[in-house]
Amino acid sequence: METRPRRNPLRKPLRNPLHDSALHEAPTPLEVLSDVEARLGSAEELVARQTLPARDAVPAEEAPPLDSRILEHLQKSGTWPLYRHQAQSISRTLAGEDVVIASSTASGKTLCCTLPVIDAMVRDPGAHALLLYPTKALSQDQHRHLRGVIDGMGLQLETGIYDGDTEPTMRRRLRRSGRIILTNPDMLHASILPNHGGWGALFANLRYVVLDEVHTLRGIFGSHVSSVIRRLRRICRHHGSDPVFIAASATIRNPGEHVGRLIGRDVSVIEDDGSPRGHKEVVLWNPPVVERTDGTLTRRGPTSVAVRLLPELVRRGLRTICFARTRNNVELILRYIRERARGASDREEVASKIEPYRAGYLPTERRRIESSLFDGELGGVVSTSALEVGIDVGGLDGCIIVGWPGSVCSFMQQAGRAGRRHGESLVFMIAGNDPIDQWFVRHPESLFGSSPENAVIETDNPYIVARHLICAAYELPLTSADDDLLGPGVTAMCTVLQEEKRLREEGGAWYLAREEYPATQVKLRTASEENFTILELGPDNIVGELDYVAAMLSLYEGAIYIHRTETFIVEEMDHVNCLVKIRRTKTGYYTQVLTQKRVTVTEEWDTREVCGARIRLAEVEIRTRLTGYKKVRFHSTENIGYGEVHLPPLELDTVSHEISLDRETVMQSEEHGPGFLRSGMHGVARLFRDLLAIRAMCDPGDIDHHVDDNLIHIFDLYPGGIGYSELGHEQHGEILKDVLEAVVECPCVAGCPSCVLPGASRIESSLESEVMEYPYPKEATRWLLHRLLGLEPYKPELHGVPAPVESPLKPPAPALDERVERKIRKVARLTSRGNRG
Amino acid sequence: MKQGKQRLRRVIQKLQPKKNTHFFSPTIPEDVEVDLEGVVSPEVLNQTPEDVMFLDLETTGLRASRSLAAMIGFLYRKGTVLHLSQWYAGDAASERRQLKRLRDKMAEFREIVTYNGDGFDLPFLCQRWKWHQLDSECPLISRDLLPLVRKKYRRTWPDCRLVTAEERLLGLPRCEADVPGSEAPLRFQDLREGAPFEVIEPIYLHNRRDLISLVGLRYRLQEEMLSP
Repeated sequence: METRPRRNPLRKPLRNPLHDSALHEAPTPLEVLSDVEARLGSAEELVARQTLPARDAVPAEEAPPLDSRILEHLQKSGTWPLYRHQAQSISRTLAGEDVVIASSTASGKTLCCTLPVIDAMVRDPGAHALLLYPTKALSQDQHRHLRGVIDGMGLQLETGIYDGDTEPTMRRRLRRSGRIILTNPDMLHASILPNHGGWGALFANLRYVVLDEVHTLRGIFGSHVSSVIRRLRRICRHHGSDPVFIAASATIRNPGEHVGRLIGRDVSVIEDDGSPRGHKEVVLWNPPVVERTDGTLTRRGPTSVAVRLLPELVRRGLRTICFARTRNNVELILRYIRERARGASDREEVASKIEPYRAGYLPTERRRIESSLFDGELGGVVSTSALEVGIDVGGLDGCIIVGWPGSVCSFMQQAGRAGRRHGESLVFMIAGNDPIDQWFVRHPESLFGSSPENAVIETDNPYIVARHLICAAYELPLTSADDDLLGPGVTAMCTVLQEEKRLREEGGAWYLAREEYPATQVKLRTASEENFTILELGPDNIVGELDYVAAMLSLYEGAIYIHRTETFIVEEMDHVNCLVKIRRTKTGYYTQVLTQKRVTVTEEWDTREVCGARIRLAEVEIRTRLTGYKKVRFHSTENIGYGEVHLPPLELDTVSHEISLDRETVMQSEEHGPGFLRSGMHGVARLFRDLLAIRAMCDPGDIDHHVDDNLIHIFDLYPGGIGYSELGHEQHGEILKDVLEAVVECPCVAGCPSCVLPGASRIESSLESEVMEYPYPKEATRWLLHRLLGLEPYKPELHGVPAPVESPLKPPAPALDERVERKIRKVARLTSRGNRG
Repeated sequence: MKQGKQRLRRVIQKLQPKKNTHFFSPTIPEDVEVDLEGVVSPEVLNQTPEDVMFLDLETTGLRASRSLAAMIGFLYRKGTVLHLSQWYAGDAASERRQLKRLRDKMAEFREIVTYNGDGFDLPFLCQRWKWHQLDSECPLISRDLLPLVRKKYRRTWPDCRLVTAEERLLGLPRCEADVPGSEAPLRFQDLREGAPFEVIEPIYLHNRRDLISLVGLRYRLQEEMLSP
């Protein structure tokens, strides 16, 4: 390290929007880091630091057998020589192998996908290709790149994006003469495959299918996409083509296995990364514990650290991206930055160079932010994970991750956003109060050393497969010959579908039993495609759009919607026209929705007795009612009031691992006083969920928990389930041991948000005040764990320092039983009709 | 993963559309199999070989990728009579059965006579056969009468539709009650949605009339070719 020159003479000068004169030289990221370090209150805040040294490019030894015109173009445009992994992947693709390239951000995966495609176009004037991107924004971005290469080579090729935004004339043109079609899995499923007759030229001559960002094709969405791809291969076979698949992925643990399951056949994996990388410092920052005004201790939130850090980095000329976990957090961070800057002109200038970016903005606004970040007009951006995937925003010098993003894969993607090919970059990971965050603080080596998660998909989930079988039957009659593509159970499933009168058998083939267009009934993503448009009253501007569930949870009447740091109050939510009317208003608070869950078992799969409880795996129906919202004051986050929400409940059918405590456990707990058992159950439930997530290698957001009476439910947040709660059921004992270890190891005295208390950053269901107020949650959890593990009874110490509690407020009026409510509504409607008549 | 039949069944039940959707029980016309006597002159009948099939399709649309061959009408000579078959298909499954039967039936013939069959009927059939994953090559020699008519009368006639050819070559009067073929898709849809057989009856008659005309037209064109 000592021999390294302090300044790399080859490095491009940092373009700094604030110090634009050529004479001014901005400090390097490393200088900024030591400066930040020097200003810290305590050196312990920087828990760990890791240096990723610069790495030189590994050029390809020999050029892949591409057409000479392409090689010429590459040499002319300065992308020559190719890196080793690019050449490897292209050669394999050209040899007809299905390939997945799994390498870091900005390692040139795009070329691995596009060059073979263009090669096929150049050599064969009939060849076609289909490029699938998970989002519309990404296909826009990639189409620009592709056109760049094609126009640069002076080729005449019809290419285009075919998605929901495409004009009808363009659609016809692409169907007729498009050679390279960019689209998304949803469009392929709902429009292209069902009308494959109109796409005859494409399907008969399809040479390549490109799947980009395959790591995002996981969970329920990935399982759906795997079915769609099987349908695609079936249609190709019908039209007489057999395309080669090229997949690109961020670093995941199982790229080969994942893509193999996704497309239904074996693939070659290219994991070697020959791209160069600049020096990068990754810093894990644990915010200090501070004293509240009332004397209790609390850890400073990661948001408030980011609010200070981001403008500092931007001021020093580091182009920085800041990732927050929720849309609300993005707005809060920016709002606080702007508030802090008020009054000081230099600070205001810095703050004006920072923009927010999240889902919910209009596409044009998002494009504008992307391009101004790319052009260097912006000094910083605060974003949700929306900017995590491949949209090219140029090289950034800094990255601030506010709270654990949920998975190692996400973390690596976000951290990978900072970094230039040459020159230094900084990544700050700011730990939140969640158990996972604090666990990484205690075990920083796992943050840097752990391999990314498996991408999990379930290709035989009957909920998904049955839906796609019906779609497939619309496209072409199903026969036993489809077993090899659609899965071995096709015949059996078709028989059941026939009994249910959805399919009809005729001469060994299954047809739809009635006239319908089944693809419209099947949505690939859990997020509904229904969009609410957000209209600002007064100027009558459309300020954004939000999907159905997100809108239900954040745009109820009375909610405060924050848009680009301004606060708006929701005046009306119009379900018929999917329109939300908001009005600009100044408030000192924002709102958080309160929910209440009810779990009903619909079918029991397995049940067994364990110590102190009976556990069962069951299919359940979960109804989440939105009972009201609370008003949260900016900065101090104290509750200052409640409001009511009148919206229909959200419903989910899924699979649950249920722990039902036996009578003796309940009786024994009673001697420790009221609230003891409930508090313990909540502690066990939330930790069980977090530790199951670590075991299942999934996002903790994919699993949820619910405590009801003497029952603890741990369930998959996916319709039909995706196997996580089943893993929990199988490994019940082992996970409880992990939970006990986590509780015992946590250094807190009576319980903290890092172990048994609900995490502050998640939207928690409205907990009963007895749980929130119970002073010894950790003792209660330990006692319950000992019972459930069959250890000797734990003697809780119910005195000493109580855990910090939230100041209780008057809760909203108790909700009516749904059945009663329905009856009352019915009566009301009936009587009003009678009056009118 | 649990893959029990019960689970799958419940999955499917949940996929059922909303209860208030109304389902029709459509009329399904029976297959027509009749021997026609005296519809053409004995001379024409004698000049019609037994291994020639006259075919006319009525479809639910023009694009084979998304339409059905709703009615397959064909005619052939059986001894001293003409045999007419009109097979109806209301959905894809019954279409398969009819197309399969048609293929089997075609094995008895050598030549197929159509009007614009090369342009429409036969490609449509082939595409439907392919869609049903049946053998999709047409096994018969195609004899499309439209190109012959067009070649000869394009300059003198206002158009070369079948009705015009009937009128000018066979001297048949224009039938006022006849519905244009383009109305067939809508009428088939009405039928599928529960309308009575009456809505489709004109289509059956139209089809029958076209097929009989084909027999005469074939004879006339052959005559003309032999003695120009």
